[in-house]
Amino acid sequence: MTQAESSAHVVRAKDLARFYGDVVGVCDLSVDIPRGTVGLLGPNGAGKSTFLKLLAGELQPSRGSIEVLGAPPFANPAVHARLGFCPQQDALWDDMTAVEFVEFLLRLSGRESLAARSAALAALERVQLVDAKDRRLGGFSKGMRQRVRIAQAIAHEPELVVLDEPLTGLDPLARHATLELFRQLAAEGASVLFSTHVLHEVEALTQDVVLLHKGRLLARGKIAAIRALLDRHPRRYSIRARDSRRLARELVGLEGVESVQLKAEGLLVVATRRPEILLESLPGIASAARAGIASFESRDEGLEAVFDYLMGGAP
Amino acid sequence: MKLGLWGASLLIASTQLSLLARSRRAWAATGLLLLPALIAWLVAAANDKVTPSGLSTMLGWHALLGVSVPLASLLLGVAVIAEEVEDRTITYLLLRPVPRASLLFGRLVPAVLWLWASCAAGTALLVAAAATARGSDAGVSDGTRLPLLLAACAGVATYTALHAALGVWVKHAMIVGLAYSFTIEGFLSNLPGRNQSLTIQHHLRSLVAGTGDDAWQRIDGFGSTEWNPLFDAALVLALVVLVACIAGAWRLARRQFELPA
Repeated sequence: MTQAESSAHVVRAKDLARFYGDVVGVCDLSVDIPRGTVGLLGPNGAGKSTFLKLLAGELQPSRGSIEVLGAPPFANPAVHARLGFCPQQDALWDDMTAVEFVEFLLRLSGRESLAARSAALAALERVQLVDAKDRRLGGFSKGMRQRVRIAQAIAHEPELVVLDEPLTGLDPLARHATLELFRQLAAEGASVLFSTHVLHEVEALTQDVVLLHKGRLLARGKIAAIRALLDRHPRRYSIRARDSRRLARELVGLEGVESVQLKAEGLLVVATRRPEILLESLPGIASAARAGIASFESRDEGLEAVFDYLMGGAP
Repeated sequence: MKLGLWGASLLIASTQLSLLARSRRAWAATGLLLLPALIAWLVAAANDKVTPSGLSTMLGWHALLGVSVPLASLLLGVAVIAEEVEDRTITYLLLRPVPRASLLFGRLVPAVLWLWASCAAGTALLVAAAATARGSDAGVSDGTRLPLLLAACAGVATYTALHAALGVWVKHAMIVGLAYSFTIEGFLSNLPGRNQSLTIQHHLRSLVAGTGDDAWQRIDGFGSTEWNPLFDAALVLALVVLVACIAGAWRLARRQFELPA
C-alpha cells in the first residue's frame, strides 16, 4: 500500500471480524472508506455499531485488521487525537454541566484551560446548546443529550468524525440543523462517517454509502453505482396518467417491459429491463394513446430501494 | 499539547474530586465510616459501665477496622473503573489521547483522599463519642486514637486500590469484592493461626499493635497473636497497593469494554 493510497482512505479494514462469544458482530469485512462523508447503513443487528466501535478503537478485532488514519486504533492515542467519536449510548456524566463536560474532554485531548473553554463554547454553539451551557446534563432532554455528545465529538476539530446513530432523538428542526452541521464539517475538510437506519437522511447528506447486513459487507460505493450493478433487477417507474388503463395496454408490449401494474388513482408501476427504451418511447406512446401523463418518477433511485434489492426483496 | 500519564491523571483527579462531592456512593462510604461513632454514642448513652478507652478500642478494632474500612473501600474502590463501565461513560475516557492508566490513577487518588477525610472524621467522632462514656478509666489516649487513624487510613488506601484493580479485571467486581471481604477479610483474619497473615486486616492490626498503647490489650486475642513488626506490616500494605495499581493499569491498557447501546 502506497502512502498516497493510505492517505486517500480514512479507514481500511481487511478480513475484519469481531465476535461476542457465539454471536457475530462483524465477519470477513474488507472495506476501504475514502475521505469525505460516508453513510453506514444496515438494519438493526447489521453490525454497524460493532464496526464503528472497532473503528474508534473501543474494541479490538477478533480476527483481521483495521487501520484508521493509517494506524490501528485500539488504545492508540495518536489516532484518538485525530478522531472524534459520538457513541450511540445515551450516557453522560449527569452531574456535570454541558460546558464542563465538553471542556473536560477537550483538556484530555491536550487543550490548555482557556483554549478548552473557548473551544467547548464554540462546539456548543455549533450544536445550538450554548444557552444551556451551564445546565446540568442530568436535566437535559434526549435530543439535547444527543447534541452534547455530538459537540464533544467535534470540539477538538478532528480529521475524522465518527457518529453512531447521531440523529436519534432529535426533533425535525434539530435533525435539519445537525445535517447542516455535518455538511459544514465536510466543507471544512473533516471526514464524516455516520451510521443510521433512516435512509433518506443519508441521501440528504451523501451519495457514498457502506451497506452492512448480518455483520457482512453488502455493498460499498455511490448509491447510483450500486443500483447500476443490480441489473438483474428490473427498474421500476411510477407513472400517473389520466387514462392509465389505456397507457398500460400500450406499455405491456414494449421491449424490455416485464410487468405493468395498475394501482389506485391512475397510478401505473412499470418494471422494465430496458429503461432507455421506455424513457425514449414513453412520450410517443402516451401521446398516441392520449393517456395524459401527470407524473413520472423512478422508484429505484432512492437508497431504500437499493437496500431492499440488496437484501433480496423488491421495493 | 499531549498529556502524559501524570498530567492526565491530575486532570482526571481534579475533576473527579468535585464529582465525588455530588456522588451518593461517596456519601454512603462516608456514612459507613461514621457508623462506629454513632454506635459508640448510643452505647455510651445506654450503658453506664462502659469506659471511654474500652469503647473506643473495641469499636475501633471491630467496627471501624473490621467492617467500615473494608466495606467503604469496596464501595468506592469498585467504582473507580467499574462505575464508568456500568454508566457506559468510559467510552469518552478511553477514546481520548491519554494513557489508559491515567483513568485508574486519576480516579483512584480522589477516592482515597475522600476516604481519608472520612476516616479522619470517623475516627475523631468515634473517640469523641467514646469519651462521653460514664465508666471510669484514664480516657482515650493518643496511643489509641493515632494508631487507629493510621490503620484506618492505610486500610482504605489498600482496600480501595485492591478493589479498583478488581473492577478492571472482573465483570461483577462488587459481588467478587463482597465475597472477598466476607470470606477472606472477615473470616480468615479472625481465625487463630498463621493464616491470618494472608489478610490485609492482619497487617492493619499489626500497625495498631506496633504503635498502640496498652489499651489495645483488652481486645480478645490481642496479646496472644503474633503480629507483624510495624515496618513489615507497612511494607506488605504498600506492596499490595503497588501490585494492585500495576496489575490494574496493565489490564486497563489491554481491556476491551463491551458496552450495550
